[in-house]
Amino acid sequence: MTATHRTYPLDESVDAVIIGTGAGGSPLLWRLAQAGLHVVALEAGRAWSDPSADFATDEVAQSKLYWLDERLSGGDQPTAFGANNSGIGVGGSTLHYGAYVPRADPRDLRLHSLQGVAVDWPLDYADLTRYYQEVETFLGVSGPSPYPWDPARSYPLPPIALNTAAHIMRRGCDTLGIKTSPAPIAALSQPYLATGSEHRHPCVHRGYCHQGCRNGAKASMDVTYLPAAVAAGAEIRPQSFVTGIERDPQGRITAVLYDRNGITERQRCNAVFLCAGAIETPRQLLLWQAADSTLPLNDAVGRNFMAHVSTQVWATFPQPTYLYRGFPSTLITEDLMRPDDADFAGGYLIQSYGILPIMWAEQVARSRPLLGQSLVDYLMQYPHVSGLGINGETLPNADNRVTLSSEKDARGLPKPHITLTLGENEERIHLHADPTLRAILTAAGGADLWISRRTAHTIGTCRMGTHAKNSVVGPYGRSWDIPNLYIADNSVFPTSLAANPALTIMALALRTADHFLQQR
Amino acid sequence: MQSPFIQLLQSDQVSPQTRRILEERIALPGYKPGFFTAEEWPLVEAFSEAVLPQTHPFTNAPCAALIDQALTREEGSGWRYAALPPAPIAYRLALQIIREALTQADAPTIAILLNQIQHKQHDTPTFPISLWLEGFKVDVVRYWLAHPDTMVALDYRGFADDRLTPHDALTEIQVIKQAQR
Ligand SMILES: Cc1cc2nc3c(=O)[nH]c(=O)nc-3n(C[C@H](O)[C@H](O)[C@H](O)COP(=O)(O)OP(=O)(O)OC[C@H]3O[C@@H](n4cnc5c(N)ncnc54)[C@H](O)[C@@H]3O)c2cc1C
Repeated sequence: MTATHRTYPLDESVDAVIIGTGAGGSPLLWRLAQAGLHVVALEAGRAWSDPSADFATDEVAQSKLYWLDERLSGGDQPTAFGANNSGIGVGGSTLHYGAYVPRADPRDLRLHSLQGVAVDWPLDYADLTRYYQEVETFLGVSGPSPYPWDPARSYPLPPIALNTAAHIMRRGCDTLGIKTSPAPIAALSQPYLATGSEHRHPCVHRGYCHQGCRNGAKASMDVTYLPAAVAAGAEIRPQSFVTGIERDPQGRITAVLYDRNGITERQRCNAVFLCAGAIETPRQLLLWQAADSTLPLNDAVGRNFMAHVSTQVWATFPQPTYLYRGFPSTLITEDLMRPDDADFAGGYLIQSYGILPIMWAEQVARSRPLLGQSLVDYLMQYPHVSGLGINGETLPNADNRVTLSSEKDARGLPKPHITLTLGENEERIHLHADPTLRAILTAAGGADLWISRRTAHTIGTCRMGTHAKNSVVGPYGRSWDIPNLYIADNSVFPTSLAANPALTIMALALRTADHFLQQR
Repeated sequence: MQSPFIQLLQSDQVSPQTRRILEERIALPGYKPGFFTAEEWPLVEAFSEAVLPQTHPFTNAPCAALIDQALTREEGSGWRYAALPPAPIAYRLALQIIREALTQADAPTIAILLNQIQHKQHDTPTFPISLWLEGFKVDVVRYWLAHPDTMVALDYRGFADDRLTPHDALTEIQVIKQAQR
């Protein structure tokens, strides 16, 4: 990635600085570089130049891909960070994401109009569709064509091979009359070369996808949009942790301050795209304001934090399941997106779960009250377990929020404090999903079922909307308060959607980039 | 004769960086705690063994030592319950409560105490020790499963992925699929 890596001087006022190189920052960096702009990405983590040698096939060693600066998690349902949802490094959380990339259900963007809850998204679904198609083609998404719940949709590559967890889910669902399909996965089922990208090898089903893909088959940003951005003239500066900004008398940002190897550097710029993820993005805004009380920030910053209802059920099977092999999550059903007997708004997806021993055992430790020999005996069942999980709608609630705590981290910056208290709707989704998942696993021959009540993904906190009164950015991600600031990451989602977020984040980021380019 | 595990570990199916990590774990030298005091240390070891006894199957993962190491290096998992104090303080508080409970007149056994803590019977508004125990359990199972002894006990071979081709893995999955029928 470094061979033709262009660099820009600190005193050149570059067209844009992008903060963070995850699912939001990376496509945006590429689009702006493609348009000939001078762009610099500042990334807190390091660049992994050779994943085949840099990434060990080991869960503990690969925690180097997780965002490990401590966050304080509160509310009635504190969500887990770190390994559960937050990454660091050139590529952001996509380095260890599961690459399960369903599109949003169009109804989920209109929860207010259709079901009288939450808010509508300030955009048309058709707007998203063309970006979805573009991203899926660029990444090389593997999936069924046509897609059973949206027959107009097709994917560039055939589906990824199913692992055992998927076979078990399919068997259970077949018995119950629930339709399933191989899921859309952003990993290659065949060799692939997208226009403007590099040739990539297919998936070898090694199963350590959450620990970083070693052969570039998984479409993390470091093997897709980022090398393309560098080839188009963008600079990526790793190990550059943003701490502040400078503004001119009109309130426009003129420079971004960041810490690189213990030294504060200052990159001059004409525009800033904040893409640090749904915790660090509002944290940055709050830090900037703490350093400069004249910085205008509306009250919505940090509010409406959401994490998907991600109830999982696990069961033991007579035969071995070898969950460590194969792509982890490969089967989907969208049949529960609006079930007939629903007493809730929104819906949920069900996905099969392959899982590695430690990730699984940590859930056992949190969710099953086993201790002593009974804990050991159960953990020894790992070779025979399989699980299912949901990704369910979580409605926005302004009281669930990111604030700055009074505790300082190693950099001397206040640690973020996050609260999450789930409401009635989330409880009902959970109560609908629990027996459904149990029925599927039981029909497939599973026994000794147990439930793990969990939440996943970090969503909301700088939502987009049509009024400054109750949103942080406008429909294209532009800040209401600071004219040359845009936000493009998971924080702009007004509602959680049931779909896993990465694909929609990438689609929205390209849309934001196009809008920015048109406005220039 | 080398064990099948060591043979696999030495084979070209395991990447050099993975082999290095697993070999280091096997060869853990005698450990002197850096965070826990001499008084706390036996209690931490006993508590770890009570949460997850390493006798059936016999394994030898130094869970307490790895917890001490992480606390000494100030390494965390990226978050903690806001209801708990920072990990070093939480550990000291928890050990104090445990020691007191185990040394009182009609002291419960360590297994009973563990159970009581898990059922929130020792929680106070300022220190929900049940949440601390949850984190302790997570740490212990993590270090136990990361250890090659445990991989042997589980017949785990997920780390052997270096020469996998799409064909190899699919064959393996096909075998599994057959077994599932
Ligand atoms: C284990 C796991 C599994 C997942 N599975 C899926 C899945 O299957 N499907 C799916 O759609 N989604 C999945 N996700 C979620 C998905 O990865 C995220 O939603 C997505 O990457 C978020 O994009 P983002 O741009 O908001 O933030 P990120 O991708 O997290 O990127 C933010 C970047 O900003 C950097 N940064 C933060 N603060 C600073 C600073 N001060 N200065 C400089 N840089 C900074 C970070 O280091 C990071 O690189 C998963 C996530 C995890 C962790």
